[in-house]
Amino acid sequence: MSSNKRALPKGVTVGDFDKAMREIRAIVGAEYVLVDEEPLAPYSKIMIPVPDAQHAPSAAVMPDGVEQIRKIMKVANKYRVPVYPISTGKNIGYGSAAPVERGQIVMDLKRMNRIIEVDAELCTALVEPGVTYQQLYDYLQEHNLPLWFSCPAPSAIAGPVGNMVDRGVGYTPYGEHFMFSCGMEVVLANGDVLRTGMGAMENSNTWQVFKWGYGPTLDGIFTQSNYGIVTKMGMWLMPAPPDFRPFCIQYPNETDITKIVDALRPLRIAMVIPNAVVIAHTLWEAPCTPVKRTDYVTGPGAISDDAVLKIQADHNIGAWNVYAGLYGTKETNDANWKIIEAVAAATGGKIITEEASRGSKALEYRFDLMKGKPNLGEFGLYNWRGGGGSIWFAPVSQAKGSETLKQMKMAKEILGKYGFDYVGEFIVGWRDMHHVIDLLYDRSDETQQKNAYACYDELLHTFAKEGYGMYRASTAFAEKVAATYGPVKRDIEKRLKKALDPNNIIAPGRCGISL
Amino acid sequence: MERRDFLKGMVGGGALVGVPLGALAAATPAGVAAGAAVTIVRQVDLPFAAALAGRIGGSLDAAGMRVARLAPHGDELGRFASVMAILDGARNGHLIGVMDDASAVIVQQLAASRGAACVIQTHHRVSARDVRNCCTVAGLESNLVWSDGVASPADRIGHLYAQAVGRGRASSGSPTAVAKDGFALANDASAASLVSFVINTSSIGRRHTSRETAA
Repeated sequence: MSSNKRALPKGVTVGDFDKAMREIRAIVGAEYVLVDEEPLAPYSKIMIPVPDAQHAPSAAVMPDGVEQIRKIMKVANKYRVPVYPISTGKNIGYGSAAPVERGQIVMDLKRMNRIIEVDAELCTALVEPGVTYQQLYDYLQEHNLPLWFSCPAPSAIAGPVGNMVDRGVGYTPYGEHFMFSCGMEVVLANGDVLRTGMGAMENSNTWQVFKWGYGPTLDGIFTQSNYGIVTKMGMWLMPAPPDFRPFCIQYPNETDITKIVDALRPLRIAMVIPNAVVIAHTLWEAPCTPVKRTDYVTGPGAISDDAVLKIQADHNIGAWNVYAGLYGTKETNDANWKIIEAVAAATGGKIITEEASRGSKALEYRFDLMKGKPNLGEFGLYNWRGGGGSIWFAPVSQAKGSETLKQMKMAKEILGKYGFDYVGEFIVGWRDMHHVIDLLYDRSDETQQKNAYACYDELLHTFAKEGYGMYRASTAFAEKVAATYGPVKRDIEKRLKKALDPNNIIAPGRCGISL
Repeated sequence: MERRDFLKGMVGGGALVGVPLGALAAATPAGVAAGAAVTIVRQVDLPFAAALAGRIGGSLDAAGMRVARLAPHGDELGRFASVMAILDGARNGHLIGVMDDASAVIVQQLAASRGAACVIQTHHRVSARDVRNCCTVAGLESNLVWSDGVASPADRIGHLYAQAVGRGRASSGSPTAVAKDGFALANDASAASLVSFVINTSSIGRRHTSRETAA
């Protein structure tokens, strides 16, 4: 069994580690360097279904800005100590603040929490990594700025830089977050500071409005990677529309998913529906309603289909629950609403409007997310299984109905084999679809934890065999997911790492990239 | 508090599963601040939470500690502003939470973002037969797992948490009578799940506001 012996970075001696920490203390101040067990607790893994020891940090450091990060890079290179940068570290189902490998020093950027600029005319913002969505929301409210942003479900505690760098998504028309970012500042392993796009140019005032600059566009290589530490990010904000009309369409049968996707995809591509369409299964809705699983399941194993049907009937939840919105003027939304009504009628769906949703927790938090209002409604999922464990499995497919039942059948079979419920949703992007499955397990139960790991592993490999790759993954599976994308891509990633970070000091292992 | 004293609280009742004493001896319940105020936050709409919080509070009362009690609804614990207000009120001491899994994650994560560490966390599974407990201690890389009878399921937790907040010696005092009714209620439901935990709030930072921005 594991013990609480000190976690050290791989290949680093105690002596070198202590020297490195002394020098880092001199840079950031002793109070911003944590090495003792208790203060390090917030950086321990939470949901990853492996022993805590595998992701135990050796220390955490909290620089206050770019200059301190540059100096830390020098120390890290000198002693070959790896640092694991986080912005807010709240990417809970994908790994949280815990480093990808045991012993890495967490570089917590929460002190860098300035909203540097909001341009209300151009609808742009420039923010640091420690800024949370809630902070940005409060800022916009306090300054009476009619601007919206897109945020993910745990938005009140997460932040835009970290989410964008992880290529997260949200629920407004600006929901593809990397697409709506514009300009990054990145500290490289050698201490150089790169500004991407127009930011590379002295005195340019177009950093947050034109993404490309001149020559190769570099922003993408700093997402889902470990080639640099992103210290500023530009993002586009959406003017609040004069009329916002969120809606839910409930469908009674699991097999309806095929026609739902095929009916909504054209509306999405044509941007009649400008935001990502979420199609949530009964068991995604149930915990947030809230429904108690123990009222329907008493023994071990996965919930039965009959019990799922009973939940639908008892709580007025659809087999599938479609969430989307219309954003425009009253006139355009009136016109598009007729299209939505026609599609719902033709496909056998029941529309629930915002007015009719009052009092429904599950609907209200969704409708808030679709206007970029941060909330914590989706945390209710953690109550479903008891024990609060959660790990996200998120393969990508074409936005075609034929993909949905096939994927759901594959997932349900594998989940059921390990005793887990299918808690999933499809998110229809412009042409793609994310099939997000929350593998909920009891993290206080060692057997369930082992089963969760094995289940995820089997899901990953079964889906990969069918050509379905993951769009994001838990840090515990970074290496395995990266391997599904083939050797050539990985070789290029490694060569880039060697060129930009030859001592392998920035988050080695993140997204499977290491030397 | 001595590390060994803390561990006596865990081991004394027996029934620890799979944890060698050597490993336990290495665990440190840091963040002990003798005499610090404690705020117990128990979720009011979770029947077993009342019973468990009652036992824990009883242990702290018996130890002569200043204990504040809050009983927010689960809805409140799911709101950013409410949780931040609770954390503001619990600064410079310890916060003991007794709530469902979702609320526990929210409170712990918001506390962590303000520099406060969760030093102990215990998952409880309540059935008609027994209460299964799985305890995680900061710095200890293995969980402590044990089962209690339904008659007095929280005595050890109360003792443990009283020690963790710095008043372990006197924590063997009688728990409050209110607890048993609560457990009887809880036993009607099958396999209820809840979490209790201790956050050291002495290092909690003030919250960041948008006014601190440079715009």
